[in-house]
Order: sequence, then structure tokens, then C-alpha cells
Amino acid sequence: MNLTRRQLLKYTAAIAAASAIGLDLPIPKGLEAAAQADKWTKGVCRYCGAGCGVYVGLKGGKVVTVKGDKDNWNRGLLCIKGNFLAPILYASDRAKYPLLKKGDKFERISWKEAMDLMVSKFGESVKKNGMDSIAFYGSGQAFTEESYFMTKFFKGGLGTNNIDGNPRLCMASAAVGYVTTFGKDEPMGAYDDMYHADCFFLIGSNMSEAHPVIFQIVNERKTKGKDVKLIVADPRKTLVAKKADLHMSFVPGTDLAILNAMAHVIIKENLHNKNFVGKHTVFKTMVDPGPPPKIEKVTWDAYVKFLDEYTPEMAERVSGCRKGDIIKAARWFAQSKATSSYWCMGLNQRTRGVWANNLVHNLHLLTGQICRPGATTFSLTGQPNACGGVRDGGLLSHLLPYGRLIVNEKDREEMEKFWGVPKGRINAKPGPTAVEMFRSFNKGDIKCLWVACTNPGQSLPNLSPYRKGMESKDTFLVVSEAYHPSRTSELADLVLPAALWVEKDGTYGQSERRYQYIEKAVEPVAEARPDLQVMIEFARRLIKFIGRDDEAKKLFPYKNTEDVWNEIRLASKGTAYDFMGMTRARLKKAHGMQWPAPTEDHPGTVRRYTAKYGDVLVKKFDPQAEDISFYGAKADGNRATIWLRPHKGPAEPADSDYPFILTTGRQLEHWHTGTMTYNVPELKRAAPYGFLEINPKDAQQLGVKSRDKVRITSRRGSLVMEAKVIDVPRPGLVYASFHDPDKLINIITNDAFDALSKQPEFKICAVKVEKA
Amino acid sequence: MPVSGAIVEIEEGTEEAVLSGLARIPEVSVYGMKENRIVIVIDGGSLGVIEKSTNRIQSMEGVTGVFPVYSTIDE
Repeated sequence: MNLTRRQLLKYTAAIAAASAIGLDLPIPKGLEAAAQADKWTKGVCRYCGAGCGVYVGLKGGKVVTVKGDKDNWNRGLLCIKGNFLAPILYASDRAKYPLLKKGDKFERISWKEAMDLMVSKFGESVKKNGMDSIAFYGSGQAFTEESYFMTKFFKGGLGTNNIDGNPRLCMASAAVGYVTTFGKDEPMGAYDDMYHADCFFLIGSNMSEAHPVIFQIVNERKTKGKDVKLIVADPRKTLVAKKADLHMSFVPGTDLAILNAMAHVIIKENLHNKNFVGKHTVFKTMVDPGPPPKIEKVTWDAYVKFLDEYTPEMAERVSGCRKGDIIKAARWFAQSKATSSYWCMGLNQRTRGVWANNLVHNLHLLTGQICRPGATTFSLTGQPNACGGVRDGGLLSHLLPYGRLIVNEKDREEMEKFWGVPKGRINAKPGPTAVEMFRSFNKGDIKCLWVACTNPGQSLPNLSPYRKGMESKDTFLVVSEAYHPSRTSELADLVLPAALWVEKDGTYGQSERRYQYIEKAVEPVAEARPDLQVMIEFARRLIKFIGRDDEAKKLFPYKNTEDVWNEIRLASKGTAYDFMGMTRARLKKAHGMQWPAPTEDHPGTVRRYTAKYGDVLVKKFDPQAEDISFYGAKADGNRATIWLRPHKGPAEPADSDYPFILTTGRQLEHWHTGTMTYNVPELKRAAPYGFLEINPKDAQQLGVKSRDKVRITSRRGSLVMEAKVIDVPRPGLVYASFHDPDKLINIITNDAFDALSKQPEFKICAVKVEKA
Repeated sequence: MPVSGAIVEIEEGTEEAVLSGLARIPEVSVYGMKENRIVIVIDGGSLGVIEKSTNRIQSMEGVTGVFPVYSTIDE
């Protein structure tokens, strides 16, 4: 069957509409066989952080189709990628056996040989060079059990914080933004807020392509609710922007001025909620960037004075966004009955990502548009388990599980006691973050690195030096991957074939704090193994190898994923994350549960920080609170922080040598580094390769037409791509997705990172564009 | 060019008239029907066409609502 992209899109649109009313559509000729399943298992989509519930259809022991779960938040809807999930398991480039690089070629070896080699390489390095000579780089796609296990193994078992993950590249600024404003990470709201909001503020989110099923809710609200307003702040005229009542286009990297100007208007026009501000907020400023940063509390008057300069006129001069639009957006934001904000990488992948996050939160706190149905400030997540496994589970190099921090002595002691390791075992110094880790690997300070379930050979910014480092013969790189060759596994010394998605069981936690269990549906291909199985074996053997025999079994007594999950529940007990009520049995039955869920009869919490709308932890942590309490911020009297964050531009603005800004992002048909979606024939046919979007005005000046080859060059690299001349990026901006493994756009991007979150600025770098 | 999957809700007894009205709109394809709801896809040359078609369907006799549930764009 050879569907065109147009036919595929129409069919997907029809399926989505039909699913919403429980109608089974006749399948187009050629796809009927695939759709006839004789058994269904429950799971979650493998792609983005939306976390759509799915049923996986099996026939003859193989996954043949997937359908949306009507009883889950996604109401049976799936996007085009979700509709064509099954083929990812049966791609011809699945990694099937352990492979060892000999010279320039990979040779098949046994699992025993692979594990022997890995233990000896890592173990010898520890003995010779110390614990910090080895590292692990994990993933927001790994199961929670896998991420928690590696956190415990490295931080508690080995005593090194050389462990980080790819959420550092996508969500770190959101995480630090929540922590600095509210005291604890993760959104307080839920997708349910979309059904109650009458004003949507989207900034730095191409929701229609990156989170299509979530966008359907916004779309429906716009259609059904005549008074529903959609504000979109984005330098690109995306589909979402085209649907907006107000599209605020601006020069990339200038949105901090816009957000401060909105706050300026809100206060000048007396639209702020004085009662809320007085009761629930404090004001802070950073007087010295450090490290560590020096923070001071200030007054409301100081905040108002700080905002003085951020007039709409000033913001227009800086950003190119019309002052009338800024004023209108501020009024709609403050005066609507319930305003919800959504953002994604456009705010996070920035050298001022945390500040940008803080400034969105500021608007909600100023106006009291928070902690009630429809009023919330919500970071959308890129990966299916970045929230659940890595942020909540504490895999990042500065974290410990469930809101605890490496730098906090009490938190370290608590986890040492919980894990049963000697006091002082957990290193008090946060480890290297993603970019720092790969820099260290380049230098040879880290000698052995294990990369699992992610593809840094394609996804890191300023890719070329890191690829060279990964390929070096002086270090040892192990890559656990479901596909080979990927742009990372091709650089590895040792490739371990990984079970994928429903070839194993485990738990995902998505954007709205909803945890969902994924049932194992089929056996892994060939000799592929679940990562957790490999991790446990490696951990036991390495701990023994370095002479801690007594700890080898005691620390890792698990027989299955449920054993790990039950320990996770205990680790969360009594914290602001409390998962105790989310038993495996309940998760198997439920269509996801939202934490906190402290007891086994607790239904889960849709909205946090509000007793009135069901958060039972308000009374536990702040017994005096009448309703709202930001109980994560105990040191500030359970109040959230309104930050004085000045406008700062990007690390690398356009200049006369490199006059364009490049921004990167996502495309509807593909996901991340394309290892899965480029393996789905329907998706590959629909969108066969990456291209560079150029505004027609710029194209005319460059003498470039659509389909011409253009050379894009930054201070770090150069690439020839096909041009797509289209009125989507604003003049001066060019855009490419990062999915295509044959067009590594990240050799162009900048690895400068946010000082607080250490998240790199993928979204902005200066480039020149020429006809090739 | 945008594509929109939508549900058209209709009053009882108006199926024939509404289906015949939908057939007269070139950019609309009907994919199926369940109870009082019809699944359509609007294949528009622009968002304006989608909006115009939606408004035209909305104003048909017997139609109580048009609810887009999936939109995407292919340019």
C-alpha cells in the first residue's frame, strides 16, 4: 500500500474523529490484515510526554496495531505517530545481539562476553582512576524503574554523581523554574484545566506538531467556546499561531522583555490580584550569579520599580513584538476567568531558560490565575518519562529521588539511611550535567561511559567535538540501544541490544504527573534484553569487582520491576510526591494515576497546592492553610516566589557575519532522532527527510527557491540541506527539525547552557545561509 | 495545506438531508456515521477554506454542531 502523505493525513484525521465517537472505520485496502488483532494489552504511547493511553493489538504473538484508550485522558485519540506505532518493533535495523567493535567493524559476541568486558573495563577504571572515572547517561524514555535503579546504583551504591540524562537537554529549565518559584518540581495542574480555561497563553510551544493530541483539546475549546481566547507567542507562524486570536511574533531570545512588559501592564492597569499576591507570594532577586548564586528577598515596591523600564514600548523596541499586542495579551491574561499557560522547548532550551520559566509563573502569581480549574502554569514535556523517571526519580546529577537534592545534607542522609548504605556514601558535590559529562569524556577524565536509551551522537548541541570524543579509542563507550546503527551506537565500543517499549514492562510518568503501567506484550527480538535486567546484573557484578561483596545482593534484591516499583513508592512516602497509593495492582487497572496519591484508597490528585480542589497534602504540610499553600517552599512560609529577572538576550545573537538565527524543533510525523519514526514506512514516505524553512522575503534576497540546496553555516559547523520557502519563520529566522539522522543539524547548534539548569540553547544560534 | 477531522452532530431524522448537503461541499469527505454523529474530513487549501466549510456545515438545516477533533497541516 502506498499512501501519499496527504492521504495518510486525511486517514489519520478521520480515525481521530471516528475514535472520539467510538466508531470503527473501515481500514484502507492494504492495511486490513494489520488491524485484525486477537488480543489487546494496555500501555502508553512510546513517543512524547503527552502520555496517551493505548491498547496494543496482538496477532500470532506479534504487535500488529495500536488504538487509543477511550477511558484515558486522550479519549481514544492518537496522533499520526501513535497510530503507526507497531512497526517500530519490527524494523530491519533492530539491534539483535551484543556487538563489539574490533578495528572499524562490529563483531557479534555473547552476552556473557559483553558483560565480562563491561564489568572489567568499568571496574579497572574505578580501581585505577577512582569512582568519578565512570559515568552513566540515561533517558526520559527509560522506565521509572530503570532510572530509579541507576540513581540508586551510582549515587548510593558507588558514591558518584556521574549520572545525568537527556532530560537535561529538554526539561531542566522547566524543572529548575518550578523549584525556584514553587519549591518543588512538576506542574500543579493537569490537562483537565484545558476544559475550564477561557484564555490559553502558549509560548515556545508548537503544540499542533509536538503534542497533537493535547492540541485537539485547545482546538475543541476554541471551536465550542465563543469566548475562549488563544494567545500564541512564537517567532514562527505555526498552525497553532495561525489559529490564535493573537499571535505575538518576536525576535528569538527577546521574550523575557515581553513577559516583564506584560507584568508591567498588569500592574500599571491595576489588574493584579492584590489579595493573592499578599497572601501567597514573596519577591526575590539574584544579586550575584555566583556560583553559588546569591539571592535576596525584596519588597513589592522594589518589584514594581524593577518593572518600570519594561514598558510595552521598550519591549517592542527589543523584541519586535507590537506594543498593542503586548498590552492586549496582558489584559486577556489577567481579566479572563481562567488562564492557562503552556510552553515547551521554546522557553526551556535557552541560556535564560529558567528565568523565562520564572517570568511565566510570575504572571500567574501576579494575577492569581493559578490553583483552580482552568488557571495553571504548565510545562509540556518532550519525552514519555522525563518527568516520571528522571525528574521525579532523581536521575539528574544534582538530584536525589522525590524532590531531594544532592547539596542538601539532610536529603543525603535520608537516602543513605533508606538505601542502607554507609553515612557519607552519597557524594555531596553534584556531578557533571549532560554537556559537561561529554566534555569530560572528550578530555578523558571520564574513561568509561554507558549510554542507555538515547542518542547523544545526534541530539547533543555542537555535535562534532562530542562525536569525536565518543569515537575515541582512549575511552570506552557502551551503548544500550534498540536500533543499530544509530548515530551513537555507530561510535560505541560495545553495543548492547535493548528490548523496546512493550517487549518489557514498567512505568511511565507524563507531563501532568500521571503514572501509567505498560504491560509486557511480546518477547524481545532475538537476544535483546530489558535494560533493567542488564543494569541489575552489571550493578551486582561491578560492586563485587570493586570489593563490596556484602553490598552486591543487599542493595539490589529485586526479582522483577514490581519489586523496584514498590521500593520507589517507599522512597516517595511522606514526601510532596507521595506515591504510596499507586500500587502496581491499581496502576494495572487504572487509566493512569496522578500523584500525590498517599494512600491505597486515594484517587490521585488532579490539582496540587489547593485543598479546595483536592490536594490532601496541603493540610499535612501546612495545617493552617485555608486553601492554597505552596508547601514545597517551606523556607518562604509556603509562599511562591515572584522573581525579578531582567531581560538578557541569547548567547549568540545574529550579527553581520552570521545574519540569521537558526532555531530547531519538531515535525508532526517524526520524533526526536528518528530511530523509531524513520522506521515506519508510512511516516517516512510522508516526510522523507529534513529541510530548512526560510521566509519568502529572505529567500528572495538569497535567490533561493523551494527544493534548492542551501548551505547553512555557524561558527561550529556547516551542512547542506534542501530549502523550503514558506511564510512560517519570521524574516531573519530559519528553522530545521532535528529528526533526520542524515542531516545532523546539531553540528550547527550552540552548546552554551543556562547557568542554573545547565540546559543548552538549542533554540538560538547565529548562522549564515547561502545557495549551495 | 490543512486537514481537519471533525464530527458533525445532527438532529434526528435529518441524516439524508445533511449527508446530501455535505456531498455538495467539494473539500468535505464523509467517513462514517454513528447515531446522530457524522465523521468528516475537511481537506482545505487554507485555514480559511476549513473555516468557511465549517461555517457552511454549521448553518445547514438539521446540524446542531460541528466539532473539529483533529487538525494538521501539510504545506
